Amino acid sequence: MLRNGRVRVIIQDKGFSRGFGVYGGGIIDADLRRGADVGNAKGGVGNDRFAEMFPVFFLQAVNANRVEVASDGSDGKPARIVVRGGGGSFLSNVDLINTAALGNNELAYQVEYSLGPDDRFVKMTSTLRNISGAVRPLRTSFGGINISVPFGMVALFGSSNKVFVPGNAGFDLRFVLPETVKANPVTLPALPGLVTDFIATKGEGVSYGVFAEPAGENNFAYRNRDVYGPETNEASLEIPFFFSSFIGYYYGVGPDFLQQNESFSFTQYFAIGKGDVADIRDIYHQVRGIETGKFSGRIRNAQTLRGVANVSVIVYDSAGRPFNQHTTDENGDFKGTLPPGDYSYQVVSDRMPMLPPEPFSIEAGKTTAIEPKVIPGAILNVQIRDEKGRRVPAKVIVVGTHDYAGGEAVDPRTFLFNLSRGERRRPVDQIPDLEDEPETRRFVEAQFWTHNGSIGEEVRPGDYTIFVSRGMEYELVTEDVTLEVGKVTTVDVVLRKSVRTDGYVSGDMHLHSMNSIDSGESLRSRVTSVAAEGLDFAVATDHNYITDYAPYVTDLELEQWLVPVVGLEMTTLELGHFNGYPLKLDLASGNRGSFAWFNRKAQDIFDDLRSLGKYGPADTIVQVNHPRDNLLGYFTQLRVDADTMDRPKPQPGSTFSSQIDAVRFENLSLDFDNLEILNGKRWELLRTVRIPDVLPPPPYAIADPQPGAILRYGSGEIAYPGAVDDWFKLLNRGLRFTGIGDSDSHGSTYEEPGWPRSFVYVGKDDPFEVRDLEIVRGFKSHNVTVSQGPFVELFVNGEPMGSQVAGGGAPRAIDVRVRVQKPSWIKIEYLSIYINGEPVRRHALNDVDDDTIEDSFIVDRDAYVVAEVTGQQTSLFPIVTGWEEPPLTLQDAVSGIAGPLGITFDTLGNLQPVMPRPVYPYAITNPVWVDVDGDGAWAAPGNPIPVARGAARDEPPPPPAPLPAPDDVRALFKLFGGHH
Amino acid sequence: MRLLFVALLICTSAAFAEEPSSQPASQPASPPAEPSAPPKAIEPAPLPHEDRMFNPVIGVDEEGPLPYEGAKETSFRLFVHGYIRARASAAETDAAAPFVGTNNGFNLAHARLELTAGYGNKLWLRFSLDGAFDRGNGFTGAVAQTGAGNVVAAFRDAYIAYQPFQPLRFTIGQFRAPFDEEALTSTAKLLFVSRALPSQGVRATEGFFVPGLSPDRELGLRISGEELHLSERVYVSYFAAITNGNGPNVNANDNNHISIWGRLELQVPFVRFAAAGMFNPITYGTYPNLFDEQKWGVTGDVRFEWNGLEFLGQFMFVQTKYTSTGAPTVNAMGAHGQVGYKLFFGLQPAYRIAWLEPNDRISGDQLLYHTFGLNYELPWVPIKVFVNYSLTGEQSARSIKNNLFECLVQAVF
Repeated sequence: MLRNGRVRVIIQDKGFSRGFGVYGGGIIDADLRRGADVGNAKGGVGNDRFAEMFPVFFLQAVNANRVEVASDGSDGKPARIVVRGGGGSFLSNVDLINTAALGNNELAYQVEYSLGPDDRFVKMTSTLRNISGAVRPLRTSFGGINISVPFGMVALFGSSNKVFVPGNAGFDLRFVLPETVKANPVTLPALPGLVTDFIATKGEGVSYGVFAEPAGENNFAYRNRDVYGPETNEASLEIPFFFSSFIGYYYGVGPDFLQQNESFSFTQYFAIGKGDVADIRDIYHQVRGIETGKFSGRIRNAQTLRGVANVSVIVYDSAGRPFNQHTTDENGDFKGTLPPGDYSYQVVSDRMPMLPPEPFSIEAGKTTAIEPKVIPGAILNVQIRDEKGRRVPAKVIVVGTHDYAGGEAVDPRTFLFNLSRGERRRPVDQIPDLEDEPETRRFVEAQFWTHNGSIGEEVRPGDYTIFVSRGMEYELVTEDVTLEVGKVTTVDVVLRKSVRTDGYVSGDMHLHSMNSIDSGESLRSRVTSVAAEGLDFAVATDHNYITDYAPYVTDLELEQWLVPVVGLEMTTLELGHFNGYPLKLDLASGNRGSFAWFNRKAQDIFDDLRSLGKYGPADTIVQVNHPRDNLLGYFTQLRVDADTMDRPKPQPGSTFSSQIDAVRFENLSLDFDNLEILNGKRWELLRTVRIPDVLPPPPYAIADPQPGAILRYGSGEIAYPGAVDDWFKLLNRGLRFTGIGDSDSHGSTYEEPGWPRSFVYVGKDDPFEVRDLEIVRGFKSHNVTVSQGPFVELFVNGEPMGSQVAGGGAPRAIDVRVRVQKPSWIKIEYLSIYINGEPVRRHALNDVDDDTIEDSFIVDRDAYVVAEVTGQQTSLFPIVTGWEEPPLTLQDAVSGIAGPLGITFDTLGNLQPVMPRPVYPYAITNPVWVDVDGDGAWAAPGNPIPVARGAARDEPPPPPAPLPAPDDVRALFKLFGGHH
Repeated sequence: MRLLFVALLICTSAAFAEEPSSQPASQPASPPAEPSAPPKAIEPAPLPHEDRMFNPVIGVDEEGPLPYEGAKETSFRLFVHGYIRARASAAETDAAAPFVGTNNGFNLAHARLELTAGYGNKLWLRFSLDGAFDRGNGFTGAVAQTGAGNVVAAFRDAYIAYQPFQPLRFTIGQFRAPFDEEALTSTAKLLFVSRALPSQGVRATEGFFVPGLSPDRELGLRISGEELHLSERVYVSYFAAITNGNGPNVNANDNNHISIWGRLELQVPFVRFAAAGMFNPITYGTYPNLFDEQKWGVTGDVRFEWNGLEFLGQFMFVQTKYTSTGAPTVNAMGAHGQVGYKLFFGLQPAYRIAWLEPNDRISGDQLLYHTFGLNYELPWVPIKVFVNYSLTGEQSARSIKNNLFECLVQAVF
């Protein structure tokens, strides 16, 4: 730990990283000193919200083998910790690129962290030294162009922090970065991205920031200033990618060659502030010696005249771009420094009406003070009970109608909210807007969750419809209200449960909280939102961290509503993600018992998960998550062929073989219990995507696309294999995995917990009586039905899901009965029945809240039956907001670098499915197995030839084109999933 | 608490125990003396200033407050006293201010237990604990409350006083800052249920919250000399204190600066004039987001008492400079005048007018209250009943309906 009277940071020892990084030696915790540094039985009293930071040399990190205290500061000089090691890939997939650029064990790395007695920043000096024994170039060649290898940092600030970049982006790096990359294509040796002076964050009680030391021509952006523009300076940071809470930036570029034993260093600063961007900027001004004046003031409520705490004051530069941000303290005060010049400020709050920016000026050495009055919001009071008179956990959604701003293509960012100044996103209904139909122009102004049936919150004044919900088993209550400035509006509601789920309890087995670095959801609000969505049990699955919700369930008095289950999502960056539950909690361990994953085989990971089981290995669920995610999917990473669910198709001419043993197909393990067939709103991972029946206008990226055929890449691989289809193929092989659905929720607002959810039969209805072991047994019995709206029960010959019914010999008639229940606000259309994974019947459903459909079939061999319910006409908005942002995958982010290198990815052009869409009702059951001949052994049918839907559909793919020689890095890039 | 009280009783009983007879046992018995009159307890004289308090060593009674006539001087005497003030209040409701008038009912204004320990003639200790200390009860040092108030048990006074001779007394610990006459007046001696508007401000449930101008207790050191005779009927008293400046029950200074207080009183027949000043540099906020302010203030008051008629007039002015933010200086000021007259049967009508300007840079925030009171002091027990009705006035921009009815029962022991 490095610590002075103002701040403290922790540098990880060598070994397994607690965060997403692979190696130790990086900053893992950072906070201000807060008086009492010692924790107590309730936990620590610090406010560390930082995830991880480590230096990178192009795409290589430091594989630390020594972490030492070089100076303890007792001499009054800065204290120093030094990390030494060799190079290592933080993504195994980029191993070959790193080898091509930086060689193999030819460079030694050192990172020195130093903290002065009075500083609020850590100075990080990264040094690389040539130990190859010969002259080593620090550049590589792509397409005949020599580029010097850039150096920088990977910073995971943590999702509870909002990242701010002064300039056009402000708080909206997510969208402005790709827009900038697209609008400003660059050529090598520059890389596309944003250039800035510093990066800062805004958080509750603590903020972080990074900026570089001026380095002249050794600054990467400055060396390419003719590309990046006149605002580039000798200390600029260049941001090529931003993914989830993961930001990478370059600022250093070395000489073209390092002589034998020669070294090169570059320096950056890591600052820790009190919670707003302004404090980071103050430190930046101080370190850089920038002349400033002071900007300060008090924000008052226009009605009460009291100071308004915790609102944002955004400072815009003379061009109107976000430049700085203050957060007011409990008295409504703020202060900070700015360089002399003309600015404007605006008080930004999601709870109050906003006034336009006001101009002001700063003079060096002088103070400009303001005391604006803001119009207060309205107070919304909602009291919620159930039919028994109990106060219930519930969700309240405030829905407004926006003005007509154009057709469906108008991005709500341009008129409904402004992300760059830190406003929250307002989800919209994703229905094409019509000027004369206000019901097509709805948006969610605010959402609140209550654990005790009572909400009192401040909301922007206006006309709204209040929706009160409690998941899919309850009817909705709506009420139109007008919320006025400074006034209280009270709504009393009784929620009625209309869906009977006798013997089943509903749960979400994939939930994240602040214990995951990519979630800012506090545990308290996590538990509240889970209970408010009507879930009966919740499995905590934080990334590489074992979490227990039980203390919060107790604290919030939710024992009668919610069963907490201790779990973990073992998160690898190369093999996929796997949940394990229920687990033991090890309070003595920094990550509560989680373990290392790098270069470990799947079976080893599954074994370790089971060994942590609370009730022993046999009663532990191992769950494979999003198996077909394009980078983080287990089946994707091991290249499981989607046509056969077997080894990958041979690639003629390929010399590729993974340098990481764990990701070889031979190490695929099927020793798991649950398969996540529906993950949150990722509809494109549910069923194998097919070419639409109505083709878009040409040209097409693939030759002769056939409507209805499976969408494939030019290499012949299925572009978007579906998890349900994978599951069917595995069932056809006799592998009985329980198909489940869950939310993978990282926050409550846009990733609603429990949508979808899985209903598990335990024979009880009251969560208070249910134990986690009974839930485990329920999963293993396969009597599970997945729901994103309707609750569907399947019976074959009267037996429920998970059963195996015996017949009297083939052929045999089986009676199939499906009961479909839903609350009245959910609209469904079709029931599809599958036998051995093939659709055999489709029933149109009436809008009946409790419907039973009976059918019968003849089967001539052992089979299994699954029922699926869909609805595509009416979305679940606003109870479940749609998927609005196009997915930003890691490869999308990295492709920003790959593009100028001439590395291309296989694309589908206009056949690419459009990801953002509303969420529609969906449900699918687990199977009932039919042992036709009644011999007690169920003979797997094997994988059938797909049913032809037309000529030339699903023909064997053409042989892949020969790949270039492996010493061309672009070819290697293509091989590691380069078709994505 | 209970054990302490029992201990105090035992100690007090011991203090009152008769001394053993000094006659040796072998002496022939003397004829029995005439039975003497039972010892007469000396009532401590009521004092207008709580802080002048019940001084067991040197008080108004110059014969010395020995527990009874003829008692021998002891080295340690304990006196327990206090009061309970139970209040009922009802404010009007106003749809424009939904937080006003929605918490009407009963509350415990004070539950005060005071303990004075006198050691010898010149040294004493004072503890004053209130079991119903409302942290939003109007003083600038208190935390602004919302809703129904946050009542805690808290020390009010806790100090050591040493008076080598009358013109000089040293007091160290937590005590009332010598500034505002209304605040210095013993709570049990107030003419109305609540202190005047300039001192107390407005509670959050009774209007838009406005902090008062009066300081609360302070931790520090005070030098004082009380009732120093200039002539037979003319006295002067002085108080000078240095304190932390950040209020009571905070065991660390908010910064490295001290606050300075000074008060001077001139007592002539029936009338007392007084003036006071203070300088208080404040630092608040959470590191590293610290803000400095400088407050300085003056106050003047005049008190008249004669034949059951009492009058008090006071003016206060406090200026705040915002040295960290550079915001413009804010001036706050207030004044009030009150009169009461003791009629027959313990009845005492009273009237008060009070005005407060909390911030001269904000227009429309001035307040003007008229309070009508009728008090009744039961003659056979130390219980007093107060009934007050206040017509509350705000300027038009912040006008709300919040007239206030208060009723309080006070028992002093």
